[in-house]
Amino acid sequence: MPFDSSSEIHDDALMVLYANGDSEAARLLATRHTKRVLALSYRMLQDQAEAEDVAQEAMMRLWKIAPEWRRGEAKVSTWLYRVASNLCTDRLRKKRGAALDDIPEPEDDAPSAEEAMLQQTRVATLHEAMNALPERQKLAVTLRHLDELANPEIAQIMDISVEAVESLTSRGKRALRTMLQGQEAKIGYGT
Amino acid sequence: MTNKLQKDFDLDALFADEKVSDMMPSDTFMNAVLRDADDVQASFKEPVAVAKSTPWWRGIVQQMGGWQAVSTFATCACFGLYIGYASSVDQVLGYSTGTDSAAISDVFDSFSVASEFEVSFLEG
Repeated sequence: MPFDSSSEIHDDALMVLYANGDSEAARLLATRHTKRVLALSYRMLQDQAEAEDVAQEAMMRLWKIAPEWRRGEAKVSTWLYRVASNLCTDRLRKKRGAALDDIPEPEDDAPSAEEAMLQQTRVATLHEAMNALPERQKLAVTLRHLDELANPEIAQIMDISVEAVESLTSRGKRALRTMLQGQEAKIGYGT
Repeated sequence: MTNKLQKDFDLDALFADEKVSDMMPSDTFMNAVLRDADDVQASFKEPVAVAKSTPWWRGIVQQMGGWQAVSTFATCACFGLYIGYASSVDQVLGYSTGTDSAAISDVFDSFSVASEFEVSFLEG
């Protein structure tokens, strides 16, 4: 089946097409959503292999639910975020207690790549601080500020009210600032 | 002072750096996802041709032996109705014939009266 204007095909329609045996629909759905699901998983877990496991599992669940997919009830992206965030939370709970120091420091390999290294350091520092947040705060901050989702969608994903999302992100950011104080020089913000 | 520092700390810049470092799915990973999709899709049941729902009367027609049998039956039914109707008309006509025959006899009687007049007229 040709998809000349594939971007115009709604996710719900693609789910129906996939359930009816159209493999091109699977390719389109995977292209649209896998990257974001993988990015969320990686932000939550900070481990590439684990993030890929979670993203693959979330996509697998999407394929399996396709024949029973109810149009208009939920957005595919929201549904996937919800599944992926639950899978991440489960894994984080299992790993609870692991030392924050386990996160590897960026390697200092090339003096010419100073800026790139500084950015790596910033990202690693942010990851380190975010890993210290309670799971719900971490998820809310990730969805709001890294995946740039709107609060109502985050509320749907986390199954909480919009006010609770605002509260979680606000507390999360405050905690991040507290943790990052004193590291301005390390991440290139110091004077 | 701490509060001011907290407020000023550029979290958004850090978030922006983090977004740039987004993990991209590798080809191997995407292939694995698509392979899963194919496997799951293959496990779905073949779409069953939906049987058209036949109207109830078509079932009855088939049970009775098809259109020919039904048309024969309908013809017989119509004929029976006609006979029934016709006989009831006869019956009605029978009643009315009785009345009419009296009237007719009256007519004949009037003719006979007339002929008697004629006879008496001729006879003077």
